[in-house]
Amino acid sequence: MGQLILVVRRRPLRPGTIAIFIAFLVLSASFLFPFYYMFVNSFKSTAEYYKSSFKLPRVFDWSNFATMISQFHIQINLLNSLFISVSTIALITVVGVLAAYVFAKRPFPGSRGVFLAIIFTMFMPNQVTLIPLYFLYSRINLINTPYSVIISFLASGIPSCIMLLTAYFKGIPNELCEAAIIDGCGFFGIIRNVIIPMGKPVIAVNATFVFLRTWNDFLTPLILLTRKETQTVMVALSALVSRYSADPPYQMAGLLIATVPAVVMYLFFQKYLVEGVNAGSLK
Amino acid sequence: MSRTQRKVLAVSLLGIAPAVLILLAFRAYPLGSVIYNSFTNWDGLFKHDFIGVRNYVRLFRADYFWMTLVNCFIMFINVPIQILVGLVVSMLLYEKTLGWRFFRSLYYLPQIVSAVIVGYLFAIFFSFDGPVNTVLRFTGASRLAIEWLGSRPTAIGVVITALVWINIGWQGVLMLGAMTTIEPSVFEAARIDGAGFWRRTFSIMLPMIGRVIEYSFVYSVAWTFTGVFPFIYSITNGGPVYGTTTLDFLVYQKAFRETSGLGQACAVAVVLLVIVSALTAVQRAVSERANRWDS
Repeated sequence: MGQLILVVRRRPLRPGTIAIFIAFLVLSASFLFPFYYMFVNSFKSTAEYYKSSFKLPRVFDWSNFATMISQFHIQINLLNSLFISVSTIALITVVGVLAAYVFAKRPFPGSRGVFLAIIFTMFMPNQVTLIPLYFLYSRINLINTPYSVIISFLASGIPSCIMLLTAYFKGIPNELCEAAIIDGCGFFGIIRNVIIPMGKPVIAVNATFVFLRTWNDFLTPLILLTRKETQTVMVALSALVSRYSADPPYQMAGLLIATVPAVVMYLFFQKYLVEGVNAGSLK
Repeated sequence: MSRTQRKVLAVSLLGIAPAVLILLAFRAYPLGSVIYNSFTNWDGLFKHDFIGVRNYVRLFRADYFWMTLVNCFIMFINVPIQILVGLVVSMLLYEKTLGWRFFRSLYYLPQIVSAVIVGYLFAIFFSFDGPVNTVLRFTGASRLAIEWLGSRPTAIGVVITALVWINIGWQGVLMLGAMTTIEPSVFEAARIDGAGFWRRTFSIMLPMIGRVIEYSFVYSVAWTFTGVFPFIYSITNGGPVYGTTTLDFLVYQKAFRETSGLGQACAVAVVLLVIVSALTAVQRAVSERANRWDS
């Protein structure tokens, strides 16, 4: 016998509590069901899927995943997505920290106007700017390269990054910056020795959001990447899903592979996500 | 201005220069280009002449445009529903109802999954041989096991369900964050004064997080105009006919799928832009009014 743990309830069980508990259970089930469904069915054959799509697979058959790698080459698309996400995070952090430091700690005449103009572009839908951008990129031969997508993600992500970082940097005590100046730090010295060490949490929040947003984004790479070997995993998958509509288990394997990295991120950075949502306007 | 002051200013300007240049080249320039091209017969190849407001006239005369707008307005229903569900969820988490810890780690999960994957899952779930119909047939309600995505009302219903489902977690986290900023002593005082759960909710909780609800409402309405594309693409592809096409999907459809002219597509994009800008202005007005109340 293991240890018996007694749960001490602070309040008695009322019918209302039970009803709420059941509602919670139903919602929880609906949140977990897609993952369960993707997981169990990606190990089945098409025949078994159509016979029983809810049950656990009779045998865990990895062939769908094997085909996904050996024939669909999903690893290439995963790498494309990773490259785009990581590059965007790196660049947006550099550009964002520089600008946010200026807006928070070195305001100049007119800087508030510039700040508001930047924030305003946050609300511009990507669909609107993509039409001219497509033709701009094709003129400079960036279609079907990750760079066009990275630039677009940078441009659409910079405003919320600057907003988030500026708000946080304003809270860093001025005395720290002044002390750094007395110690002989210049512009970059203050950023390296004060802003980045103090701003680590918000930089992490921002990186988490940029990762999820770029990893999961669909419209921009869909339009800018038309060749399979250059596509991100979401775009490659959308082609797969429509091509293999008669083979749901194969689709499930692909959808599952594309979802796992984001879920892993979530498990590690859950705390940062909650902070980011509450800091406003992040989705 | 002294030399040091000038130097400080120059360094500051250099600091914001990368951000400003990127935004000018890849946000402002395309914005101007879209507005200009909406007045031309641009086809991406040869034609590029100024034709006045003809694109807009043609758009406003087209049935599909009004159908698309109506679709957007119907889909707004998702906003009050997701706010309501998110509010209830966050209140229960705040009150630490039985099982809240387990639930708290789950309800943000849908936000982590790509919208396009959620869309495909919904399309599979609501397909004719999918799990939803399987359950309906199993429970004897086989008359209800229909082709969900085959007719406009049910297809819109499926899309709205997906929009609500994916956003419950976002609403919940947002509202719960607002609730935790309220001093717990306020609730304790109310509890001692004999205020029950409902009384505390309506007289303290809701008024105190009102600003966040307002913010969430406007944000979600704007999102319904600009963020629905991946869902439409994966669940219904805009169909049947234009039955579930939204404005953001229409921009994509006109610009990248049909060859009816990019000028026309730009006109649709400008309409979308005007609507979203108006909503942003409302948002600003609302938050400024709230700021005045606060001070």
